[in-house]
Amino acid sequence: MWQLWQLSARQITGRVGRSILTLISVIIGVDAIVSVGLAIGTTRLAYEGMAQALAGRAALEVVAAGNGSFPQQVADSLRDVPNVEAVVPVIQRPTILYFGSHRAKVLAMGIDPASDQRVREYRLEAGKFFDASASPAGEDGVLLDASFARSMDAKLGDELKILTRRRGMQHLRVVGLLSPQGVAEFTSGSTLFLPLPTAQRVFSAAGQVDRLEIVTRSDKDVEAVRAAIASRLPANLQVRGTSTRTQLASETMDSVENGLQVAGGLSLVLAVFIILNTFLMSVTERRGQLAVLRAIGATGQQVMRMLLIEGLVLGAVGSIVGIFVGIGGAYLLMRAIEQMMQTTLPAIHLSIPTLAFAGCLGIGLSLVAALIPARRAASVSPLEGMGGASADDLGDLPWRLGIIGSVLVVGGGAVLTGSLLNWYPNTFEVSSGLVILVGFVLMVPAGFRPLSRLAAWLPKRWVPTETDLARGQLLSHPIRAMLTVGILFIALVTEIALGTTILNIMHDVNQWLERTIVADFFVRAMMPDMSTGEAADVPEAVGTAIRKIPGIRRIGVVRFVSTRVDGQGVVLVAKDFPADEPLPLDLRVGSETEVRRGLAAGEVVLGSKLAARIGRTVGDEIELETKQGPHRFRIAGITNEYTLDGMAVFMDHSVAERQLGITGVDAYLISADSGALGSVEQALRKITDENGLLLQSAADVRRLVDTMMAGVVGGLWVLLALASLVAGFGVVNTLAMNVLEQTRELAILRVVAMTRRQIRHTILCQASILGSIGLLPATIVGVGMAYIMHVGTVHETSHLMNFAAHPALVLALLAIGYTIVLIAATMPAQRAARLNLLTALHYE
Amino acid sequence: MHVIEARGLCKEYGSAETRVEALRGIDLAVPRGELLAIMGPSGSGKSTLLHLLGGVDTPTSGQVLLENVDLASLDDDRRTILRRQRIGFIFQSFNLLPTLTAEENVALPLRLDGIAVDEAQQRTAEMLKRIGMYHRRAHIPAKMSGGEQQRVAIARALVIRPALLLADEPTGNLDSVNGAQITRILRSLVDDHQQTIVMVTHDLGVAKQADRLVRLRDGVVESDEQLPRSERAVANTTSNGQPSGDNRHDERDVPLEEHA
Repeated sequence: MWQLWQLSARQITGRVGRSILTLISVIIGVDAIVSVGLAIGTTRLAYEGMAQALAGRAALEVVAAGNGSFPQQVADSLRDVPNVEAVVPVIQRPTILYFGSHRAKVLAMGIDPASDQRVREYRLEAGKFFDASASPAGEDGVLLDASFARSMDAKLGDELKILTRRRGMQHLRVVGLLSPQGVAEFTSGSTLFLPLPTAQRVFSAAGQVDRLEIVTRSDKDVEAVRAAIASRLPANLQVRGTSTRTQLASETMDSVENGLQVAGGLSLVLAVFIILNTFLMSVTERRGQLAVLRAIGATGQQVMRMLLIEGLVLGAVGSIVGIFVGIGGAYLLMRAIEQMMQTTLPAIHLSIPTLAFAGCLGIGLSLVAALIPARRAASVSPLEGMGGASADDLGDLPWRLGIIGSVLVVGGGAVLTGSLLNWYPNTFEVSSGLVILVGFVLMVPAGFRPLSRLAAWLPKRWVPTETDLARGQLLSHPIRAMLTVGILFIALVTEIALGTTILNIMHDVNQWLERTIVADFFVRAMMPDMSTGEAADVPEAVGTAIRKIPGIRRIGVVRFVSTRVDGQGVVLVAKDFPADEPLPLDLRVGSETEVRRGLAAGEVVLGSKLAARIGRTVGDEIELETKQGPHRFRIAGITNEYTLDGMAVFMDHSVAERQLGITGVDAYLISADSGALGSVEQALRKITDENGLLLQSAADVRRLVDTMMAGVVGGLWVLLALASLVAGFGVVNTLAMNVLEQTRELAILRVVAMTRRQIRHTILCQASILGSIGLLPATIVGVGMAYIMHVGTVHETSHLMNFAAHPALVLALLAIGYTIVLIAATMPAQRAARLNLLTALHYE
Repeated sequence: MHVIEARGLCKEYGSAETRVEALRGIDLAVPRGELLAIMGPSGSGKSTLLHLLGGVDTPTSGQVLLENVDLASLDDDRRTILRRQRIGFIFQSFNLLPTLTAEENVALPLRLDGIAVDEAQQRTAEMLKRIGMYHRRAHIPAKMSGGEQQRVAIARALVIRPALLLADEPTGNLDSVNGAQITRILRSLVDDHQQTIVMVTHDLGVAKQADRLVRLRDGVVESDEQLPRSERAVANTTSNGQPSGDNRHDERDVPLEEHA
């Protein structure tokens, strides 16, 4: 094969532009998979790693319903449960750590020095572990991750401050620096360990713990131990597996992943079309050479293998580059996810299976795309090399493709209908939409004659002869025309579908912001984690200070509590709903009056996703796990909620306080008199500065949400721009190939009387016909695809968004599409117009 | 024994009203070491006959026997392999692969046949030396003159040591000097190496260098004549049949290398 490979290598390096186009197609496809896979995978791993690092070897944990604290003595009653090796008490609180000018969100873990090492491993880089015999009043030391300490410029012996609810700032000394290890490496950076007695004191939880971690003697004993422990626990406590902690974060990632996978899938389809197009062109261009090869003794198999090896090499190189580009893409995507979820993620975890899958897919798709051209190459007759036969006899291929296309459209349509009617899983909606798109494209060659007549109608009014010549050339190569049309069609459908979805989401988010952000200022210790709602408490003294500020019209509070409803991890949002202000909910089911009345009467409002997940609606009841045991609440309304992945239960703060004993504040919501906004802000700024807290105005929050959205939305727009670019390359390729094939014909036309200008028009007419066939239907199908994505998104996320088509967007994208087509045609048109007549007349 | 033999060879193209009978019952046998020239006006079936003899096309009826093997009895792959190993082609337009060097072009049939790299290199070098193109071995076709390209094409055809060399207008794209040079090379292959060559040409001067001349008209053999050896003395004819004035000695006695 070496000699043939040499031929292929010369072909690849000799046609740099075309090889680069093929590579770009593979790179984009592989990049989409790698960046989405790595970013989502790393985020998932971070959450799981955090849970695992914190859970250590514990298989089970005892927590209070509603995730409150409970007496430490419970541990004593569990130590003699058969097969329990250790019962380890823990206090775990999100807080803010201050050192010098540094400020960081951390998770404070109060651990029992005597027993904790039976759950977690601590490898010290410097300093010492806590003294197990130290009295509760002993030294208030903390252990920090060494690299995290370095990032804060903190050293052994330095004094740090952490924020607490009842006792304000608490001073702690660094007594040890930990080496990161195992899964803990991902998250321990933002974890601070302190002795349990110290934690109980600084967080005002004397004799209380947040969790008991249970280490069993062997994995086989877990279920038996769980049953035994459950039988000993009081009603307000429950025993569960340690893995349930990450459920909410994992579901949040599902939503993000779905959206990104749609974009990734579309770019892959686009990549396949371009690779197929490029290889078909390459085969057409080399028909003469291939025929000579066949004449001097290369078998069809050898020629086919040569083309497949070209596909393999381009696929492999494209995949390797795509993997590296994808790693960069994953980095950017993770910054967007960080913004969206208000969290800090670890460095990218280079998942070998993800990289291998993307690489194999890139190579596999290139091989699949090269297969049809390779088979055509294998069938090239040696006679063509001897001038004895005409090339490119397609036979009934257009009709066969048409039949396959029809089957895909009908089959995809049936699956889509079934999916929309909930007969099949909703995940089929987008994939069946993609199948329909491909089906439409495959039908193009069979219907190319009438379609091209329609598309030629307009240019024919203007330049009739050139249009006829242009159409004639396109008709003689329906497969090539189909692929270019397919690229344009899929690119514009993708752009319209994603663009419409982006605009609808942005509109919906803005509407949600308008309705839910009603206060003028927010005071909080930190932004809550958007997937778990976890945030540090605002010290109680701060509330008192705020209430003394003159000019404040109202002070509301909000408290996030992680709990469960019907086995689903949810966040209870306890907040004030003042009667004289608009209801701060984006209601989708239930009237405002009824919801207000219900909330005041102790009812709840569910996030739309939660309502869909547990199949409840207004008037039904839910069972909420609380410190006092399960409580039933009637549902007063259903609202859209963009944070917390929609898995939220809203409750009036006073009801939560009264009925569930929920205390503490995550944020103060402050409304000022209209004339006192400036002075109130000034006074609030003083308080927050003194206490190391965050002060945000309504505009700040809007900006923050905008920033959160900007990353993901920006990524999608970049993808759209890439789709346009790739489509443009496709058009250049097709028209350049047409010009090459028409060289002799164009020269004859020039000799006969055609001006350079007319030649240019002929090529531009070809572009215009291809553009019209690909782009015009794409506007309608694109809006349809947007609707399918909308329904898919609603099914998947249960965000009850309104669907709106955006004619201005469609027209703008159509105009951009035509512009790209015509710009792309300029180069081949110029090349055609400048043909050297003598050379061209002898061109074979 | 005949190297190639055609028996009752017929070839039709198209069907019904568009049916064209390109060949109508050709019988032809070429013994080893003969240079056979085929002439005839356009549309007489010359190229079709060459394609059928070379196994790149199949007859509508009749047989082509290459060293007593009926080409019609072989499937496409086996016919291709037979062609690769036993038939060399020379084309009017040279048909070298433009991205490969002279050396790589000549080695190509050997490599396609799975010959080891060392042996292929050695045979390629020998062949390039024989046709006087060794010094140009690293050049690509675009950097060579028409005559040089055709000499490389001859080397590519000969490197497989074929039983039959088929030449389709080998001098058609060359000027008179290069045309004469190629003709001398073909003649010496027959005289010095007992090569069997079937050559289609429009050029009577070139045809007269052959041992035998077959004229075709409307798909049948119009005449089949042995050419007297004396006719070949006019070795340095131009491609249009005019003497070039350079017939100082019988070129057939000069080694192949010296023709270059």
